[in-house]
Amino acid sequence: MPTYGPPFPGSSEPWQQPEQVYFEDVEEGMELPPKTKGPLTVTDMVVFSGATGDFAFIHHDREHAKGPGGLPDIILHGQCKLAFMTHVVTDWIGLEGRIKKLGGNYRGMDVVGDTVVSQGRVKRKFTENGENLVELDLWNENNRLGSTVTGSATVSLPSRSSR
Amino acid sequence: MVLELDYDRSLLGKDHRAGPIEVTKELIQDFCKAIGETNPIYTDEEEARKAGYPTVIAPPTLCTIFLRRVIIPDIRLNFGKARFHAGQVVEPIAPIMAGDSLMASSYLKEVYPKTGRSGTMVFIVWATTFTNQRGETVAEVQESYAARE
Repeated sequence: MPTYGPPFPGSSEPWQQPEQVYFEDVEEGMELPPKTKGPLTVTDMVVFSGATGDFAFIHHDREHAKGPGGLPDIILHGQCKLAFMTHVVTDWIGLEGRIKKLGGNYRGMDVVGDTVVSQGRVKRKFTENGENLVELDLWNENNRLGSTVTGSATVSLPSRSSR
Repeated sequence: MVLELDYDRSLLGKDHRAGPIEVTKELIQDFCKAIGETNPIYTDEEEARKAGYPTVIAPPTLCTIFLRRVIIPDIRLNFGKARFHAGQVVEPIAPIMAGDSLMASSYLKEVYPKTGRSGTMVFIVWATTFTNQRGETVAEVQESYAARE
């Protein structure tokens, strides 16, 4: 594997599985532990381009992004923004939780130098067809622009009573 | 002003396919590195097995990176100059794992205008279904583009 150093805070620390969250522990309005990515570097964006094969110039070529592209700088890929937001959810639901549906609207451009903090809050908890479901509000907070992605998810969580 | 939207309506519901898309351990590992994901169920076979999977699984949004493999035609929309990626919705249905061979099938789902503070935009929504080598649906993804005046 090529070495390009740990691209994001925390990514070089030993992994610790967060404690499993159970449906009973969830309260509406509860906040999910946030995750910080950045400050984003050109390398971070190129690494994502390489991993995904997305070589659209707006994600790696500054001269073209700023010139013909009319953009403020190289911008972060939509798929990467969504993956950042999803990371908060996968860590929170743990190994026994499942994402049923998750989506985001791309509202602003994250560029080189920006720091993105992905966040989430419990909107509603309910039981449907025997499944313990939680609706989440999700967003990515950019240090310059405010939220650059707003989204939501529905997840299912294990119950303490069914253990 | 009433917006008279015109586009190639024959594309609505018509399938465009791509595949097979081979999901390898290396591809999953590279994706995890690129997004700062360190959970070993995505990169370490033993940890994945402890979690009840036969091998490493893909993070839930990995499938979004395969959308661009499907060659989708220009819908010939008579509106807007600038287009941008407006959003994505993923419904993971079954785990995508290393060794899977996926097929993607996309169709134009809807085209609709929306007027907000910054004027009118037209949203173009493509829906994609991913199936694995056993014919099981593993994920549904909706991807929206917006055209701006």
